[in-house]
Amino acid sequence: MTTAHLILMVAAFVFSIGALTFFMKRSAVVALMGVELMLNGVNLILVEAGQLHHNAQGTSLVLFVILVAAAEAALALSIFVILYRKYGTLTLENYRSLKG
Amino acid sequence: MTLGLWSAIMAVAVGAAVMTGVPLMVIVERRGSAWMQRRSGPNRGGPWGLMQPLADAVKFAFKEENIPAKAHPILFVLAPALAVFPPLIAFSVIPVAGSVNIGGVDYPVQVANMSVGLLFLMAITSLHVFSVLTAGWASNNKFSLLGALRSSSQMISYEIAIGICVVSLVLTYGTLDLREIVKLQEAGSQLPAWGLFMQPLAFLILWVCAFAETNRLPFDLPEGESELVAGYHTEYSGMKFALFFMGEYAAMFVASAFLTTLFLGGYNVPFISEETLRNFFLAKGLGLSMASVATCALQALSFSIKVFFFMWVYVWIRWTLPRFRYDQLMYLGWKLLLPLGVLNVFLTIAYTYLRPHL
Amino acid sequence: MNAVLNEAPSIFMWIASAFAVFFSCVVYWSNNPIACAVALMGTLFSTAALYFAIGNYFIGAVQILVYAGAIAVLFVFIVMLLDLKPHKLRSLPGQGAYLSFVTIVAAGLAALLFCTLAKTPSEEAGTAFQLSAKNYSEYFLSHYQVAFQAAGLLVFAAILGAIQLARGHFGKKENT
Repeated sequence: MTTAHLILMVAAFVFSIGALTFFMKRSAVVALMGVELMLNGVNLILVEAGQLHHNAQGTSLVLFVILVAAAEAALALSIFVILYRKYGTLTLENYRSLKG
Repeated sequence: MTLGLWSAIMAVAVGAAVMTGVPLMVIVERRGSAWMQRRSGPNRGGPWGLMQPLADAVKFAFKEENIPAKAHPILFVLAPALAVFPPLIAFSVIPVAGSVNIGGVDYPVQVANMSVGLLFLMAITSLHVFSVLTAGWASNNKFSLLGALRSSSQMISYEIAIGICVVSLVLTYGTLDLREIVKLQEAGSQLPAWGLFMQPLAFLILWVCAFAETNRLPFDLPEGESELVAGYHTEYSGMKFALFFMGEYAAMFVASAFLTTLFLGGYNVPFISEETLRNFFLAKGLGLSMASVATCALQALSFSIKVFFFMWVYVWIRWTLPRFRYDQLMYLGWKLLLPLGVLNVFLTIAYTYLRPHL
Repeated sequence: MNAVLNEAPSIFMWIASAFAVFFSCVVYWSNNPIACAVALMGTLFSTAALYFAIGNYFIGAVQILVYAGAIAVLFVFIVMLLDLKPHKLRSLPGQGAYLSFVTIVAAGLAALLFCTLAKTPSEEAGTAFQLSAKNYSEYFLSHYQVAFQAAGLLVFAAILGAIQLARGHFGKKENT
């Protein structure tokens, strides 16, 4: 097992745990942490692919992913603060006013 | 001697130097502040009070540690450790002296040089926020939490101004490698070729931001004694408080070393390049190894003098200026320093672009 | 750099991988939101350590600077500000089915990546791209210039959105 295989396995694992956290957690903030974990797994694979192919494409894509993740986390957390103030809870099961 | 072994030796040496500098700063601060206030400060512990930091360390070790009843058990203990480690890690990319020649191979006197050293340094200094937040929240104390929130927002605001100034510095030097930056500031004819003369505005802005980043007066509101009890380290006593103290002084060392490396020529002796020094020692009859060691000793001394100058100004300003109010602090960071930093970037761009045409 | 990827992993890499796996498990299994936030920061650090280990110092430093130094701090800040309490119930029913599904997906993903790895191009001598800031910025700002400007616009829009959200005029009828 080489380094490349180890990093791919770690990346797949982190991605899966992120997906699991996103689907299974009741609190919105922790679900967003799952999103960040998924993005991290993807970043690992991208960086490693860039290293394998000897160019900087992996690094560039990762830079964009990190940038977008930062912007999205900031905005999502601001929205969560406002939701908390308005509804008093961040538990995702309680947001069912659109349900028929 | 492999590079790994050399890095390990350098890590131990730099860590020991920083950890020795912290007690020295304790006594310098206490005596210096006393002289500025026309009193004599601690002079009973040993000659000139030099054993006072040792007495302080023994006191902290034996003091009873009160942990508040509802404090979060793990985070409360983790926070002081998080305050001490980042400054020590940050010292790994700062070049302390030139290269030592052992057995024909040049070893740089630095723990680990990275081609993106400046970025790494900025990354590590941004970790201090986390220890402050954790300490304030884990104490389960309203004053601590307020102090922590204030401190973290202050640090984040001033980090942005640091980032903008680093952009203009990278434009000037053309590299992120700290060793290259120091080498570019070697020698000089009428003035030393220091970054201070190339980027004076960035120097001023970064110096002010260094005060804000280390929570030192005049940006001392988060731990202001008359405002918030002691801010985020109210509930800490004994060895944990000593760790916060050490972390604060170590962070001051890192900030001083940062400013020295970027603006004051790092380890360079002013007007004298490393080549000249080595040739001087070689002409005296020393071998190449000993000549390089003597050169590096002189350069390390020059580095220490510059860092110590900044540390003295830290102490000087602490006991001279009053504290900023919180809204004044935020105004300074966002509405004054950030636009000035952006202006500096524009000026640097204009100068860099027009320089070949002048 | 490619040489590192074809060798057996060093001890440092094993330790960093173990920490990444451990901390991401803590993010999932913990009931306490603050523990999840701290474990997220641990995961980000471990990932940065992995980036350093495979030789990409630039992305490692950027990861610590942006992800661990800004995003994770924002998460911790929000958890502390809203004072989120530990959940009383564990999680939704049907967890077993989800777990097995995700395990199968994870295994499939790992297998897919393993097979893809067999088809990577062989090492060509002399085409190694030295990842220094200078080389990288020349490449990035020439090939990805449009994307870079678009990303700048995106961040600008995010700043405007954050400012408007912070002002908080919601649910009120303004008489202007």
